[in-house]
Amino acid sequence: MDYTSYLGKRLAQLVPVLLGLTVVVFLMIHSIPGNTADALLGDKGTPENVARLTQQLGLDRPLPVQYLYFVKNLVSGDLGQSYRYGQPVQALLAARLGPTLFLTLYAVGLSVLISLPLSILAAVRQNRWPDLAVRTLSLGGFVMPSYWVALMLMLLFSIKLRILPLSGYGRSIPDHFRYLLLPAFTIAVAQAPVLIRPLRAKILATLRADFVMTAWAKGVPASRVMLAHVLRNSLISTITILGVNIGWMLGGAVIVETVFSVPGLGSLLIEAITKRDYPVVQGLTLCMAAMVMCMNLITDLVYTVLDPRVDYGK
Amino acid sequence: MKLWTLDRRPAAVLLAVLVGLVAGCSGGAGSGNSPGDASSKAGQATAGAKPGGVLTMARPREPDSLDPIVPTDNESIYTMLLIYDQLVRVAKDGKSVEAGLAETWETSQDGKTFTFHLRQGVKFHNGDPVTVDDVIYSLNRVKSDKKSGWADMYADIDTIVAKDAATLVITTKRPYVPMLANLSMFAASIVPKKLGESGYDFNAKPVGSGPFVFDHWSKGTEIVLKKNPDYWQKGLPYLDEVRFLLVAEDNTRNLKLQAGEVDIAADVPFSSIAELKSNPDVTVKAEPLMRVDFITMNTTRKPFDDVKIRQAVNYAVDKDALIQAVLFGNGKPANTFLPPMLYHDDAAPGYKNDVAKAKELMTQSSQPNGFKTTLNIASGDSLQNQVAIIVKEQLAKIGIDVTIQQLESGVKRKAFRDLNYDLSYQLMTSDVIDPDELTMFGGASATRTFWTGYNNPKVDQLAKDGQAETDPAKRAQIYKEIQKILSDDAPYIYLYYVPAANVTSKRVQNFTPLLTGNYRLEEVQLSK
Repeated sequence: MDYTSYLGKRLAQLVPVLLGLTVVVFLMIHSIPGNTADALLGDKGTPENVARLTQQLGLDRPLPVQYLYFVKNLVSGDLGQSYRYGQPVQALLAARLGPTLFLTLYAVGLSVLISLPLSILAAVRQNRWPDLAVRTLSLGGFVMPSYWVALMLMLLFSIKLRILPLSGYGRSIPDHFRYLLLPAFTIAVAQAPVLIRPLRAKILATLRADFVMTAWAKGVPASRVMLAHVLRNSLISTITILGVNIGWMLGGAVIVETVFSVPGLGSLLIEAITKRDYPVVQGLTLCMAAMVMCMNLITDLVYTVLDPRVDYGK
Repeated sequence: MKLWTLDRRPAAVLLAVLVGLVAGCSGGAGSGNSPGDASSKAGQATAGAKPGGVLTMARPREPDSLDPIVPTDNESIYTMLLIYDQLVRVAKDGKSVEAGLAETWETSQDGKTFTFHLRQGVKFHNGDPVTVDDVIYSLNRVKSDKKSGWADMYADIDTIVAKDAATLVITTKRPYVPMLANLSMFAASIVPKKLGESGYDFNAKPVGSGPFVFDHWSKGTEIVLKKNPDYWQKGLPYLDEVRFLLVAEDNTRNLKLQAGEVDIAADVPFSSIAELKSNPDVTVKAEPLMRVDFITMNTTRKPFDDVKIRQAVNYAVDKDALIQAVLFGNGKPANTFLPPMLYHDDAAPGYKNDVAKAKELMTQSSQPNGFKTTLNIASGDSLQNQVAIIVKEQLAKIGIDVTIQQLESGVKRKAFRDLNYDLSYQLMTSDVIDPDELTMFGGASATRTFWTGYNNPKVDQLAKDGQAETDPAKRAQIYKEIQKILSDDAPYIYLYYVPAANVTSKRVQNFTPLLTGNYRLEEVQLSK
């Protein structure tokens, strides 16, 4: 099987998964007790207002009918209208997708920038103080709640030193880099340890492999041994972990985006849940799930590029 | 015909004068000396402050909609009141109305005809003049558009007609005194007829005639308003621009203020007020708000059908302790079902904490040996949770065993509406300065008396009388009586009145939220 048909097959596999996802998302949201119209109107809703809104939103129809409408619209690219904003959900998502993608990629970049040198350092100085320091630090980063890390970073960089904006997103690309540095770093602090430990172990194992010994013996320069031989072979596992964890990062971004008021998908999710804006919650869940699935697919594809030994025929 | 005068108790007048002096502005409730006439306003600027500048305010939520007839949430309301004008607006004392787009007005002797003389030469933000037709269109819109969430408050209006280009006459089917208060509401904002009739989306780009012009709204980030240079109050607003940032996290709002990134942090948690007060760089504003918190009792269920038990729990709950522990001292015990507002009976005794009396009432009640009951609170709401724990402890002293039940807010609301509960933590806020709205909601039986199941034909009748009584003194008496009956019959455990807590940086001058919770940012200045 060649690469193209492998790709086609993988993409086709996504369809039933997505469809199943729509059922789960739809049922989960509608099995939450309490009336949407009630929630939308809050304590001000009189029984007449509630009844009128229920009818307006089509919430008085049977669930399967509501589901079919949902899927029908979905197929035509229509995720419905936000109850709250009265705007198409896809437009709301599109506006919020940028900051989340920016933040996630920024956080991935930072975690790699942090974990690569630290893992190498820990591996080549195994069981000596740099190694111990890296291992202790990464344990610390892993156990600190991101909410707390965020507050500490804000206090230090925005209140004491006043060198970085406390929250927000900014208007231009250089602005985004500045505004999102603290949130991205907050995510990276939790993410880097997840990368460091396996990468360190893998580097250690690779350092002892025969082909590395051979490279040393041939007199290949140390930097080339490390980069071309050791790292390239060790990184494969890291990429898998990173790929899987991007889904986790999207989840973590919900908290970080809220704390730092980043106008991304995560903060939209919180707003939509508290306001019971079902179409937006549905759209967001689908969108986030689709992003995770895409990431997994991309991970697998990158895998085949990095490691030609991976057989995509099966 | 008589010139409209609202209740002018000496204290209210004094307060109005004081506030007026501080703000460098003279308030005149419908007496014809409109606040916009003071052309020397800019000259009266607070010392050290200067016109211009950008004010940034961090708020915890985004508006739901900026179409006047749609939303019910405070962020929408406070924003719209800066963009749109109404015929009349709430005066700073929070107890009367003053001139808006109507310069003067009269009410007929029978209380059924309201005549408004419109201010001339006012322009909408798109440059069109504000005409009597725009006013008629806007009022009909809130009264009968099917999008309107506020039609009930204008249902008593019979006709709205133009007598001439500058005079509007509204008639009602019966004497209806809350009319002016209702017309000062955001929902009765005046919008251009021409746009409205062409299906214009006022939420997407509001067009009004208020002090600020809508610039843009980046969802999830900010709403930006610019100064209206043609505003009818000459010299106002002082600010060039207002930015409302969405900052959902309580701590982040506080920190943003401390980092100097915003000028005002709205709705700060009470737990941080003491700390903020000790910070010399910021000013804490805990202003009274028309909000009352209470625990409703389901009077259709045993044993809360017994008034002795309802009174006993009221005596058993120590409001001062709650205010200290939960609100950190920022609040007042609730003595009636009305929050601090027009006709609130300040002298009503309420229920002072008295465990001995509570025990005595229990022994005379249907449950002398105590009973078990359940208190519903919204899950994740730390205020309600803390209150519930203290109330549980206090009621245990008179033999009542309370189980605290945390419910998702939608579930809690449904149980409440279905009268399928024993006790439930609830609150009411008023959108108008007139007590009619809350009386119809929390006293009369149309809502089953705020879903307590309490039903008193006498209160219903009094509430109707209150709507029709044109004599302010007699009206005050009616609302006093309603408050007394509801206090004695106690369908609620009266808790407290919570203030609105806003924190500003020292450079913000004249930021004074009204009793309605909104802020006149057109009067705010920034010091150099």
